[in-house]
Amino acid sequence: MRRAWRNSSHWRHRLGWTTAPRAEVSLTKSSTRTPEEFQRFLSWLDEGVDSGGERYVEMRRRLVSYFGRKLCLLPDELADETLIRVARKLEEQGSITDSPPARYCYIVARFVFLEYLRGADQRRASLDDRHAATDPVVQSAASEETDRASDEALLDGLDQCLQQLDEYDRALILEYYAGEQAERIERRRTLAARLNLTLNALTIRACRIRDRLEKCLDAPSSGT
Amino acid sequence: MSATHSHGRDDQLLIRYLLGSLSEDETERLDDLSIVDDRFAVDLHAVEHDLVDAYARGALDEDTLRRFELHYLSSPQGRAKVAFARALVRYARSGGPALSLDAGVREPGAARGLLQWSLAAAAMGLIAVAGYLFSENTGLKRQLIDVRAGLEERQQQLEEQLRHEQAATAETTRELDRVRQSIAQLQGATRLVASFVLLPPTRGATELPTLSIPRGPGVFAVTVHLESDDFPAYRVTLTDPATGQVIWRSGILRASGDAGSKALSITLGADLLKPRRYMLEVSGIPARGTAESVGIYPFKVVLL
Repeated sequence: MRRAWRNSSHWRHRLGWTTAPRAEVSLTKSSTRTPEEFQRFLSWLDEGVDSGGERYVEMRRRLVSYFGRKLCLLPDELADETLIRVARKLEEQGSITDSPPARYCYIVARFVFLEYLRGADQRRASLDDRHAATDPVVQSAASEETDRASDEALLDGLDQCLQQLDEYDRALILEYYAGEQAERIERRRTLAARLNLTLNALTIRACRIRDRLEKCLDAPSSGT
Repeated sequence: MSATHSHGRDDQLLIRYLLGSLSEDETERLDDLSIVDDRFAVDLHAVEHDLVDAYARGALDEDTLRRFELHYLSSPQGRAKVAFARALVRYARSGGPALSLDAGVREPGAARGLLQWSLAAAAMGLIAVAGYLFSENTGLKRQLIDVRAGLEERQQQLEEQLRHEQAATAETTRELDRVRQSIAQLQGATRLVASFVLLPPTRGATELPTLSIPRGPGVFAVTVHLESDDFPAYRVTLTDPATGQVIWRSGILRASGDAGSKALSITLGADLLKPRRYMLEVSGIPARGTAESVGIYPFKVVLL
């Protein structure tokens, strides 16, 4: 793990760092100053079962979704801020025993969200008398820029990202999301039976593949 | 969207949660579960994907569609998920390459069987190697000691290399911070602070749509849905109805989205507006001839 923390691109990818460079900087600089500290943080999240970093990735995904549902502007940053605070607390205290890791993360996330709301109030108060003029030329350019993403480019990007999956995952994701809404449940049951998986395991697998595709499509190299 | 699942998943409750339709107490309860409860997190994740897919396929009922556009599409994250779902739907409808899972490269049952045979073979191999080593002469042991010494030397070299790379990474991180600070300073004026969806006004509507905008610098995005897409290009004009003054005019815009759900995307400066009523007028620009008005979208602005 120590070596992986320092050097392995595979490990960094599994931690989601390849798609969230901000998280990488924050966690390495502010949250965990050494590989040992980071390892302790991962172990604490794992609760004694080595998940190989999966638990961290999943917790970060849940936190990003939580802040997204709260309509926060930068859910990724707030999720990272939450994990940084938790990791820092763990280092300061040596252990956190009053709540299980996931619940402690949620408690900290709520504080981060409340601070975010208060911060928005303060920004508004300090900017009350500000009324800068806006250049219409800049506005037009911005609207053109917003309009630029075409469906075709997105489709090409998706095609490229699907090609990066292995054949099994590619077939699974296309089959899982195929068909109209009404027929999906039965279709998925059949698929799970064919693959000798429970429906829940199939769902988890499909969601993970879809997340990978969404991240791939967000990446600059996908051409979108 | 399905309502229930065999293990008691309540899709409708999860959809209402995702669309911000639950009470504060219920929302907080599900917020907690979404982080703490593994099963709930999986269900929520799956239902969100299916909800977004249903929107992309035009399969949502009227109420859900309205909530979806008002709430879910108001976040950049939600819009990105919709863009992905639309691409996935189009890919499936365009007849992407047919693949057979049965002939797939990774059948779990088969893989498990193969793994068991591999492990058994490996165990047999280990037993044979152990017996061989046990009976080998001291010369071979010396060779092993030499190999170990070589590996330790290599380990030291790699650790030295890692130390150098760690130092280089630290310097790169500092440089990245400096660059980010510079970019942040440059981008402060164009930071996205909010986003909204304006639907075509309906007869009998009693309430004006309200755009709640944070005061100060930054921009906010507005998605203007069209009743129909009859022109190759459009222009949007923002007017103060009290004075008739044109506040802002867009460049040439093109509608995007699925057939039957076309929209224009514009971005406005947050400092541009004051707390009052405004009117967005959409003009269609034909290939030849003069532009004509295709819709007026009144709204009011509240500054937070």
